[in-house]
Amino acid sequence: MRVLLIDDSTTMRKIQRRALNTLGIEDIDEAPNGKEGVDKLQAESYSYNLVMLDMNMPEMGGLEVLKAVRADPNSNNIPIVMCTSVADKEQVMEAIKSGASNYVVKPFTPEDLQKKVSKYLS
Amino acid sequence: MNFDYLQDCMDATVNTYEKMLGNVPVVVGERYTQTGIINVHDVTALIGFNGDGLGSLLISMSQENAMKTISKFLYTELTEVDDDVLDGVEEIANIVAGAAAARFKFKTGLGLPTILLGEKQRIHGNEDAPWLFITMKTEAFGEFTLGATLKEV
Repeated sequence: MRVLLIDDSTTMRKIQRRALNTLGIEDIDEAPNGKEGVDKLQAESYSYNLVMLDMNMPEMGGLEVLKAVRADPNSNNIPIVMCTSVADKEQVMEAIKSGASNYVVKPFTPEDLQKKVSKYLS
Repeated sequence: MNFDYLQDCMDATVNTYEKMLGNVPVVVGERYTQTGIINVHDVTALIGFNGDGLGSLLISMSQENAMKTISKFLYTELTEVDDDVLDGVEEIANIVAGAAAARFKFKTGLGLPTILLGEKQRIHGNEDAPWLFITMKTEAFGEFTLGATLKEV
């Protein structure tokens, strides 16, 4: 199982990594912004079972990344779980319409996150 | 302003601390209003509101309390105020502001958070958008100040 975390916050990446480690997932890559996330997907030949994608990032936001990933036939089947603030309700709806698999709303507990992603990791 | 936006920010703070830090903060003392030059603690995260509500939110704490708080956030012992601590405080402010904005009565978005670091930091509050403040604390992490200013446009 391979997971890619795309989030500009090192804190959120560490929290997500820890929650995934608890599920037994150790093969985790990280990208600090959307642009590097898309580059990482391509460089790793789209070999991820799940992408955790932050909505609000300064360079290439989550929605833009989502649309780029879904537009690429190499990556349009990779599950993507958006990580979003509750202020982004309209963006969440747009993300679902644009092909997001699920979303987790901050603040969340580790258990909240694990519930949202576990079905993509089985 | 015809609604209690500081209460929305306090509710968002309690929810964030409870879910992500496992500690429920309580209010210490009374809320207060300030304009002009305002003293803040050594580590202060600031984030702007935009959209139909313009303003800012801040969370401010001592360096010691910032280290305690983010040590729990990251499940690791942090002994100096480094990038991890500052990014962590910034993220807490981001999450609190997002949860608060969702409670506001009008559509409000978020800017990107930033940090003020150092002793004797001060901010300036405009008279037509006064800051409301409240001190909160948890047993585990000590006191911090929550502040917000907001006006409908």
